[in-house]
Amino acid sequence: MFSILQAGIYKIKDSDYIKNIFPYLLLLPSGIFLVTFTYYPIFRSIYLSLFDWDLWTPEPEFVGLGNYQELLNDALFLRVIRNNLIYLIGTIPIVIVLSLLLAIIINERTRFREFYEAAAFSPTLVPMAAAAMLWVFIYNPDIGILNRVLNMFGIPGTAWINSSRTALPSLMVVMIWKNIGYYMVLFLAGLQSVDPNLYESAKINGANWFQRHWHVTLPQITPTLLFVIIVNIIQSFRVFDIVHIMTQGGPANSTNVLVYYIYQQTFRFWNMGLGNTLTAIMAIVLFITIVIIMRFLKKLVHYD
Amino acid sequence: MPLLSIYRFKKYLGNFLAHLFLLVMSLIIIVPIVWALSTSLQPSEAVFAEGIGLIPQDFAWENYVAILDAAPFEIYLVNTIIVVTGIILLQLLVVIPAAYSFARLEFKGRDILFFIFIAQMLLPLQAIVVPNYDVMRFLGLVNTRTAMILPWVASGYGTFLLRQQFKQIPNSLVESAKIDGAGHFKILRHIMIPLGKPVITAFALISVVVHWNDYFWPLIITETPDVRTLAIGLGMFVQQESGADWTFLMAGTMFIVMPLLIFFLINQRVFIESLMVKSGIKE
Repeated sequence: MFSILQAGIYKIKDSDYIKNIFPYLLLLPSGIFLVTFTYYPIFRSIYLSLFDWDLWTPEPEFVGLGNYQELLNDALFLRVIRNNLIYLIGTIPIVIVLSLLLAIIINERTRFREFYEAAAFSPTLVPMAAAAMLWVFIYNPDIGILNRVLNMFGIPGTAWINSSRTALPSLMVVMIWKNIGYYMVLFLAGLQSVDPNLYESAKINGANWFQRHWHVTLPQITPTLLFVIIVNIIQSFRVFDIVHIMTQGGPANSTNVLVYYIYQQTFRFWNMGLGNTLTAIMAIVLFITIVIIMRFLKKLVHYD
Repeated sequence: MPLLSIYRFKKYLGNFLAHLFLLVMSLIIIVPIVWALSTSLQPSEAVFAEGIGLIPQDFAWENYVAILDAAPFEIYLVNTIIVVTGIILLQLLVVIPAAYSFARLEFKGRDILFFIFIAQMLLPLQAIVVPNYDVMRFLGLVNTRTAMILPWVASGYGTFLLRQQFKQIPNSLVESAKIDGAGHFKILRHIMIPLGKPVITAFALISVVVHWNDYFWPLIITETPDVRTLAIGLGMFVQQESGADWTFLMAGTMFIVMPLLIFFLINQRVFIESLMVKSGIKE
């Protein structure tokens, strides 16, 4: 009797121990990587952003918020931020409208569905570096297919990525081309959860195609829509590859964006202080955006 | 009667317009790829020919032979496969236990820890390349394949997806396994992983596609061709060959596009369906 009790206590103790430590043990491997390659670097950047550190000051020298002040007075930095915002605002609505339209129309029929899906999705699988190269060729003023097609219709071509007026929009087109297929698939997934009976009753009430989707589809896929917007915002902050391959930020910095600017400052001009400051700014801006979106998301989930 | 035929006509017209829209969109989307592919198969003078020439007049495979001489694309390919495989295997190894812990166990600080884990997916690595370069220098891993793998191992996205999936698995299954004396590892191996397979596949596919694309990080961390991957190899090739002829450059481009694209066309259903599963945002 006594020993059974003892065993029981021992067992409880043992399972308590497991209960307390085990969940954390499972998180440990992931946690080590997370801390080493995400959180430690971020905080290190924020710390180093308070120092001057470049080729002329090889040992970091504390300057407080000096780097931030320098950036606020740096016309190029403001230009870069502007480019990022133009990029963000210019691509999101087009990407969303096109991918959603594709998803809705494909979802309504079965014929040739696989062909349409494959066609729209294929750019997603083209590595960004390859996509950039491909479009350098397309935009080529002399032999590129774009100017050739335009000439066929009697429209004079232009220099596209070699002119500061058209360069940024030209890059935006590449990103739109590359991404709509991916978002189309996400929307297709969202559409599967819409109750088909809702369309029937909307039809009976005399709603036309547009009205049906505006009043039935859109409210039903709001979570997907939100998800797509979030992914888009993050993506537009980290655009780099096409800039590096297609324009190197030019002509005249018309396509210089935040990550490219970080790259220039750090690995071209070896200005570690400014590089870290830009990194810190990007991390902080993204974090604030995230918190706002999370708030919004929570609200939305509560309404559901 | 006329009313019915008007209705029918409208239906046909709608259908026709829909297919027209889809067809035009599809063509606009694939023409760039088809054109590049066709260019890569033509002799260099063909680029300057009149017209749009989507179909090569005479095939010239030489460009593909020539790029292998100009740059070690075969080494890039092997490196890419090593890096991409390394990433996904390590990701699964650390993400599955973490997702299980968040989904099925109770412990102090779970919510805040979960937030810290998934917040990572909103902070792209591109944003922290500068400090990560220092971390790699400290670890002595600059210019290695390992350095291209490690920063991606902890995946907030994977943790999020798998947690959602593990949460949905009915409690009754787990309880009855526990009665049979199964511990956590048995539950993981015999219930969670088999039932979570669609989501695991989806995550693996996404991971492969994303990391096949990696460009910025390899650009910073690699210095020599022997460790470079395809995407960055192409970037270097383009710079070194700028001014070279376009058929040559397009052959290089297509060399890195084709493996994934062919893999996708063979497994299209699996791809699209598992991507659709994974966006189970609806819970």
